[in-house]
Amino acid sequence: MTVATASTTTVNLIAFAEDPATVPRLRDRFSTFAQKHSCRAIFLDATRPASEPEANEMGVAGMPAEKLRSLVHDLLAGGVGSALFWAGRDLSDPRFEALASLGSTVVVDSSRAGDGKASIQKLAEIGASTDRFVRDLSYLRLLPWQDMVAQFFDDEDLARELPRIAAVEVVSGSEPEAYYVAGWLASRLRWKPCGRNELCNDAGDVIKVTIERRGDPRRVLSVILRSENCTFGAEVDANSPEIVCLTVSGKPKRDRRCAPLHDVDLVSLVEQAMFVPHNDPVFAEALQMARAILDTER
Amino acid sequence: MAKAVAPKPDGAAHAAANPLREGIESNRVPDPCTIVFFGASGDLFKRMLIPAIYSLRADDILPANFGLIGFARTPYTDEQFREYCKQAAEQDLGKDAIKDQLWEDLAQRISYITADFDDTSHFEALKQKLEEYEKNFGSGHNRLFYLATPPSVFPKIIDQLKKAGLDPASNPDGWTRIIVEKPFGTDLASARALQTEVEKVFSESQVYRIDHYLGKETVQDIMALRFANTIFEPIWSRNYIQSVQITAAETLGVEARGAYYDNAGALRDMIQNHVLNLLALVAMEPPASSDADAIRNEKYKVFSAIEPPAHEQVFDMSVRGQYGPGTVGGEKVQGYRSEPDVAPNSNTETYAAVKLFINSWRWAGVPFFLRSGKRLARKVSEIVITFNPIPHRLFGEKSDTIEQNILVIKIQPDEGVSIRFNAKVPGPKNHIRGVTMDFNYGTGFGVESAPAYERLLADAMRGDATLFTRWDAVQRAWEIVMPILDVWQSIKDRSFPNYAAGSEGPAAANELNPGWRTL
Repeated sequence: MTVATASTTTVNLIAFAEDPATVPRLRDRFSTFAQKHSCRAIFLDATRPASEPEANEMGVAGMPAEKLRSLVHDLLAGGVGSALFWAGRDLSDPRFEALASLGSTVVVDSSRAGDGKASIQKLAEIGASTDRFVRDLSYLRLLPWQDMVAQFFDDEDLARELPRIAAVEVVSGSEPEAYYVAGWLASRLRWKPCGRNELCNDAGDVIKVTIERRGDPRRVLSVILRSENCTFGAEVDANSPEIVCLTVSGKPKRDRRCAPLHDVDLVSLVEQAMFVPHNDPVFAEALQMARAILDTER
Repeated sequence: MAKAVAPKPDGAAHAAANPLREGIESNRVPDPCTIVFFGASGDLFKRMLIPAIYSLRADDILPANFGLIGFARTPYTDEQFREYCKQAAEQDLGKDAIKDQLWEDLAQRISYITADFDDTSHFEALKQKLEEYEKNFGSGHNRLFYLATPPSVFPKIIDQLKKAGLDPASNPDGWTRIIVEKPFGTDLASARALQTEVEKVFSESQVYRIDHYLGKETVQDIMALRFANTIFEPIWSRNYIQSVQITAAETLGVEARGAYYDNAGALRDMIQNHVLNLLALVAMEPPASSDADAIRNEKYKVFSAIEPPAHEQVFDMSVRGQYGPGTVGGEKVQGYRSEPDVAPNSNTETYAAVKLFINSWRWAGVPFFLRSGKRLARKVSEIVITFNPIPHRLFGEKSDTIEQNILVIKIQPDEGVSIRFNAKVPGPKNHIRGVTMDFNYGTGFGVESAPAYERLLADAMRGDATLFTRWDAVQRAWEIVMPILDVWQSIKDRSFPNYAAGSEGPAAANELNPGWRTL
């Protein structure tokens, strides 16, 4: 048995995948990652029957959680940190708990999970109750959108509208991204949940949150903020999916400006997730707020 | 036209004012501004500058309230010039790279003035156009003039800017900066004369002398390698380093630049600027901060510690060469003297190698070998640090060569760093062999470096002069090479052409430094 071991191992990377449609692609990306970094890489394929490890991969279908944990534990390089990339369906799966306990960093992709909303809630629970670093690729994909929405309010005249925002509308192909946008805005602007899909600002004014699921999974199509006087729109161009156009209508208004939306590949996202050296408080607060918004829907 | 949606310049500084900025890394977007490209119908603008401008737009680094005015002799309408710009960008970046939405946004901000540099009224028209831009595009009275013309026109343009009221003193509501392309002068006297003209209109902080080599990511990585690691600094001195080689070799000939090159030569074209700047980055002391002037102060100190060779030392400390016919990349190529616009009996060097010493506590006695040439065996820019031999041999069979440790900083191509050290060959015998440990930026980080002009244009718009050369350093660099230039110009080299195209350069270079790394 061998595992992919670079001459110097600086981290153990454990990846778990169970969706037959995505396993080949994830395996390919994982291999790229393992070649690039000095890591001991272990790919757990839950679509294949349990098997002896070959190279850096082994089948683990049907393997009980505790056995899986023990087996993987024996493969880890000692003296270095470990990270889990979970591409399984359900964060309540006991195998997730078992593998997550081996690592100090847990990376998930909640928009690949069977129930994205439940994944956010579970991830928030882990983030709040353990000292593990948690990351979600669904949140990391939002970085260009956060930057574009923030751009509106770099303009001092437009920043005056921030306290007057009354509605947030997000359209995306999967739900976690949309809840993260709402959670991020709420945590930065100190809005608190105050009703079903409603947030309240410091002055007690209500901000209505509307989330529409449309388009390809893991792609945001638009983020629209409405204040008393203005509508701020960041929307993917209908003809060019790689362009986002920013508009401000009402008073004050601004000319439309389009900016590129760079597609970030999975390897780069996992790298970002694994190598950010500290916990990200902005994400942590956005995650807790996304969960709080979801709680209002119960 | 109203203001466009735009991030505030240098967004990080505004995190406190905009709560959504907290924790979000963002490109540092320059101030709103208008760039005027003098010589916009020329080769540099077409091949480098307009592709860089589009790339900045595509990377969302260009300020939203931005304008571009071309100013040159070739007659174009605005529409024709926009088409010329688009074709140039497509040619360099590929048709698919140009997104219609982004191009149209940029194109509406591009215009052109057909101009005669001798005619002040054309500069007055430019002033009027700038004022229109500032009103229409909200570019905030910030003006960046880029001299992409032949150097002979620089003084005239600077003078006309003053006459037309486009000097910084006449623009109190915004900033005015000027980018001056290399070469800054053709010798010490002409550089001083040009500086005198520049100083009449611009202060030093408003002048950005561009050396595109310094915009290359790997050149900047030299500082990171030295000052973001602890393992190199303790051995970075005469106590451990035997010699330093800096090579900038090309396989190309003079191409269409024969007329310029025949009046310049390798010493002026490469050594006086690019290669000496690399030397400064290798040899400088750690700056007190990453501030532009702190870095440039340290670079200047290196230059000031280099003693220019005395005239009688020139032939001991330098070698010149000129390529003859030969074979490059499997194809026969003509000699330099047969190139277009080159004098058939030209005495211009296409190869220069120089040995310099830095008179400082750190570097006393360590030779710095610099070489640059055209039509050489391989295109490569690299810095080779050779460490002292081991003081006492313990390992290896008698037949083994114990190599000296070598650190190679590869600037292009295959940007990266490699270290050569000795290891025991596995097996019962005590053989020692040299091995190489390689780091490659491309595979190590999986991202491509931004082209140099992109970085430098953005820096000039932001007012960050770190990667631009200050006058004191330019002047000192000329002082260092002037004795060599004087001797080379006064004594014709009768051995020319003295190396074949596609070779390692003239044989005499090996007498200057027998340890050149093979190209």
